[in-house]
Amino acid sequence: MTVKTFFIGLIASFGLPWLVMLAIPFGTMRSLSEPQYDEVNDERTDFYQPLRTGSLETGSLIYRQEGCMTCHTQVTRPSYAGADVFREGQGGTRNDAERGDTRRITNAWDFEGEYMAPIGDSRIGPDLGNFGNRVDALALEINKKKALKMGIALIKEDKSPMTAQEIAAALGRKAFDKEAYVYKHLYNPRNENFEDKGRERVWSVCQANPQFFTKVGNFGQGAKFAVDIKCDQQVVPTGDCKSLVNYLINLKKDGAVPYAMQYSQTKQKGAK
Amino acid sequence: MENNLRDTPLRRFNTFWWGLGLFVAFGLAIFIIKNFVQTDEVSTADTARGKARIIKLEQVKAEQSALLEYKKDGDSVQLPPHALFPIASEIKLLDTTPADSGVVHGK
Amino acid sequence: MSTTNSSNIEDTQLRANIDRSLRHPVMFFFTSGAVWLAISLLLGIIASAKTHSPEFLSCCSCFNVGRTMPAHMSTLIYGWGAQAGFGVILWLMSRLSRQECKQSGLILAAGHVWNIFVGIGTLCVLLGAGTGITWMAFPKSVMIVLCLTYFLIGIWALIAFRVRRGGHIYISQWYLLASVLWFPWILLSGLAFTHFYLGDGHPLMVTASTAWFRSAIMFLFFTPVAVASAYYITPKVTGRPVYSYSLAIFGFWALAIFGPWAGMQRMMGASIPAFIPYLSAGAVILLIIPAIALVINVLKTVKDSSETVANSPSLKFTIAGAAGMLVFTVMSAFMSLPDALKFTQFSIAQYGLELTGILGFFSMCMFGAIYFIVPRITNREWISATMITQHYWLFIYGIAFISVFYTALGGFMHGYILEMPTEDPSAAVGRLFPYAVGLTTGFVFILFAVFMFCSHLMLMWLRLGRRSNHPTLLAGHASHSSPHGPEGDIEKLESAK
Repeated sequence: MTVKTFFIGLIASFGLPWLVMLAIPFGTMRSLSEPQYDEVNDERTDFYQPLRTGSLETGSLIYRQEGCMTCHTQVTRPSYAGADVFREGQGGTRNDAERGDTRRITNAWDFEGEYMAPIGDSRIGPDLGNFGNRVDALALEINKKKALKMGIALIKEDKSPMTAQEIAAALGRKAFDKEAYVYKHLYNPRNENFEDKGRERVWSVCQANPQFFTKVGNFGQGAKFAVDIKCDQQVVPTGDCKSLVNYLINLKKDGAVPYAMQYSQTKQKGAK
Repeated sequence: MENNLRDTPLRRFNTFWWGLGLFVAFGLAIFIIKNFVQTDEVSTADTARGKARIIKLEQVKAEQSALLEYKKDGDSVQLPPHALFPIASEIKLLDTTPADSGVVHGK
Repeated sequence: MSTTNSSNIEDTQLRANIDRSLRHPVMFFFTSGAVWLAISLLLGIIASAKTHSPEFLSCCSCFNVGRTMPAHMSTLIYGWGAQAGFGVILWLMSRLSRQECKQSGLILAAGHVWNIFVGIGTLCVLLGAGTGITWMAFPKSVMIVLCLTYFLIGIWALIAFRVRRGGHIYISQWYLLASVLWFPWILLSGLAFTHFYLGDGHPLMVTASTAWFRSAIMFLFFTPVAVASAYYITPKVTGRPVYSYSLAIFGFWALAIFGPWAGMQRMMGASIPAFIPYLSAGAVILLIIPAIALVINVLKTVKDSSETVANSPSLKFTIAGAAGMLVFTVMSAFMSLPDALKFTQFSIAQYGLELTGILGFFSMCMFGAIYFIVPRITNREWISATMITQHYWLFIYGIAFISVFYTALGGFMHGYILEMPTEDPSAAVGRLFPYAVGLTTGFVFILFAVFMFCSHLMLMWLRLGRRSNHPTLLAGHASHSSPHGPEGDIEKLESAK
């Protein structure tokens, strides 16, 4: 082997995979165009328009910086690569009150607005791809219980059942606060003072995050999101924490997709 | 021991620059090849939404301009607005002063 | 005096000159690398302990798993791995090219810059200013400085190769040359696709390129350096030529051809072009080939020298490293089979596999090389054979335990629970508990071993070693057929000058 053949061989053997695996997919996937709904199956003809909300830029940056990716993933793999879809709440839910079966695999548009897809390294903690939906479901469940206790009928005047928002509105300040719930979890993941007894996560090995909270004086009515009150001091979330929580409670990867992109056995026509 | 003919200061010197060249060349190659193979269009959800909006905008524009075209319906004739302005200025239709509202200004 | 004798003396003189020219930079890389290894293991113990006892050190957020874990991996890769690699590359390349280094001061300075920036990067990660990208957790600016500093270190290996003496190019030189070139290519590609083009590409491809980066550093930097050292140590200590030179070349090209395709099997199931993860999985399976080539060559070379193997610490570590490479590649191949990947993709198996590769294979080969190199450059012998033996067995015990218990058993047990859709997340945590405790235990053993190694190396650095030209042999007596030459030959030369 001469030095010349060595160099040619080295550049070729490195260059080809570099092009095929990195450069070309990187360069072409950026123009991945949204699929169009088709008239027959979807009953509409516009483009698939995935919408994301929440503090995507700051929140996802803090999510990465704090190393959440070490223990949490954000992907629901197709069934050939894992049983993720069948886990209730991971890829969606089997029986959504309004939309029915919302389970689906994660698609390329679910990371819209983030610089890097936080796929994650391991699942020491649960997958967070649909964390927002799970918190919503928890809120609904607890709100229903509270409403029953307070004697609020869950049926509207026209005999139709109340939606989650309407129940929360009826409960007013007593309604389950999703943000406060996540703040408490970040402050102490084994949330001891969780309001729904029996649902505390004493088993959790998630890390407590004192860096997300500051102490301020306890005066007036008290801060809305104080996670802990000691004598005349209360512990409140910082701006970073607010961004992260905003990002987390908006993690939803179960939006309806065009018929052509549905892989479930119970494909639904006429996506909403 | 035989002298090493390869070990000359010049050879050491130009190897340094060759090495630096290789290092920089690879950096440049990453940039050039990536720009060469990448597609020009960046697609985001907003561009898709934009596409849908542009289609709608063009439809609306076409419908609007169709409504303003020359039309004759019995005795009445509809002229496009730009055709009417010269006639209007000729017959001094546009030389009007605003009517007095009767309200004193500055109060 | 006969001609052969005088050429022998000249040869010894040349080797002594090469060793002296590289004494300071190489010693600096080894000692600081060893300290980073100890720091990395400490961080690893904290991270591991906090996955089974989350309240441990929970007063301070800088010890959270999310921060200690990236800091642990970064110090392991850039603090220990890269620096041990640099030391071995520089020394081996000079020795094999039979040319002394003329710029050791510059290399030493670059080494200091490297260490300072690894320190800054680690602090940034611990204080929450890291990037969170696995294996590239240091802030962008730190990574750029490391990349530039690397140039000032790696270039001298390239120059040593260019001005080599003699016509034949030894197999280790090819491996070293490749690693010297691959490292900046990988580093620049990783930086470009994750940092410079951030927001320019699809978020999933950014993640995919980090997955590629990880495996490329492992297979295209750590592996060739370790293999080069094995191909040097084995024939050198046994005094026999490599069993099959063409098999070694074949192994090299197998690594060069399959290595760059690996890594993206970690993206299986994500919405990137579907051929990519499958190609990578295939490449990982084929990477068993270079490992088999190495193991055959090493074992066949040492076949009839069982006494040397028992006595030489370098050879013992090197053989363990070669075995580690086989274990590592076979395990990665099994874990990358698309059916197994279901279980291992997001289980602790992947982290365990990285540990097996870096500690069980790469570090073992590096220890072998360091036990060989340090006596030559310091002109002192290792103080205690017992400490070397303890280092060897404690390390082997720790890493074998981690590989078998944590990676293989724990990885699949964790993956099995993850693949049971009806199981609550609490079940996965409960199932993980014994393996997490096992990892902490394994780390403690390894930390003890590294503590032995580190203090031994520090004493050598302070030049407190034995003044002897006899190699430190584990049996405690010098063999007559020692390949290191007769006792005291360098002293004679020095005094004759």
